[in-house]
Amino acid sequence: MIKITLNVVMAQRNMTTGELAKQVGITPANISILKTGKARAIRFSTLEKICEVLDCQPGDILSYTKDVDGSTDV
Amino acid sequence: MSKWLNRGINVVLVLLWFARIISWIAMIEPLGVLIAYFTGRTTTHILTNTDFLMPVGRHTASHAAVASFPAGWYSLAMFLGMVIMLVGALMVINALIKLLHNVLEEAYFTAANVQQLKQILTAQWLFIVGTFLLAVANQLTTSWLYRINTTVNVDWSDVVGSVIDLIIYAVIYLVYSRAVALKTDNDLTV
Repeated sequence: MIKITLNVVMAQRNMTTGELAKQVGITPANISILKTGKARAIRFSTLEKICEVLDCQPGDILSYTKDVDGSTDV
Repeated sequence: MSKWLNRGINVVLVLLWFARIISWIAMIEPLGVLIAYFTGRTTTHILTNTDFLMPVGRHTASHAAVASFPAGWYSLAMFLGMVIMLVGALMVINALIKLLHNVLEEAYFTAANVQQLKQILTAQWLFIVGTFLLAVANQLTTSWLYRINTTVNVDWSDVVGSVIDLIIYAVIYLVYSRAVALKTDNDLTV
């Protein structure tokens, strides 16, 4: 299971959903989909842009964990 | 959506609305079959009513054949066949109305439309069963009384046709539901 920790990095950078969406070039709804773990896939171009805006590595917002029930994972 | 397509869909919706009313009214027909059976008039009705034509080759049923005609089985098959066909028709009409409303709102690939297609598929199963029962009933009148029903003119080839229709609708449903799944995945791709 891929775990999304985008909200953690956003909090560390004091970045709101709206601001991140505007700078990345996607809708706030898509940022929310990503944060809540409902996303089925993420494009490399989007991941690159997010990392550029948040000045982080993909591994900072994506991590692999074994299946755990009830977690916010994709 | 083009203006003509929009108008065309609205015309079809009106026709479907009428078809739904007529289907409900047609529910009286199966009751007529039961009433004829319980009043002992089934065989006489088949032999004398203008709804039943006589084949050219032979059209005189013997007294023994008339006496032994399985009116009960005929009435049951005809009643159940007609009811099942009407239920199936109502399911298709309702599903089409909902589908067309969604098309008018330009909601083409939605889970709701997948459900409506599934309902049409279920209705087609009912058509197969209903067609089979009506073909059985018509075979009884043809074989025993040498009469061919022109009002409910269903025979064995219609059963085969219903099965082929089911296969076609099943393929459409499978492809469409896969398309909706792909769209859902795409909508959830960031």
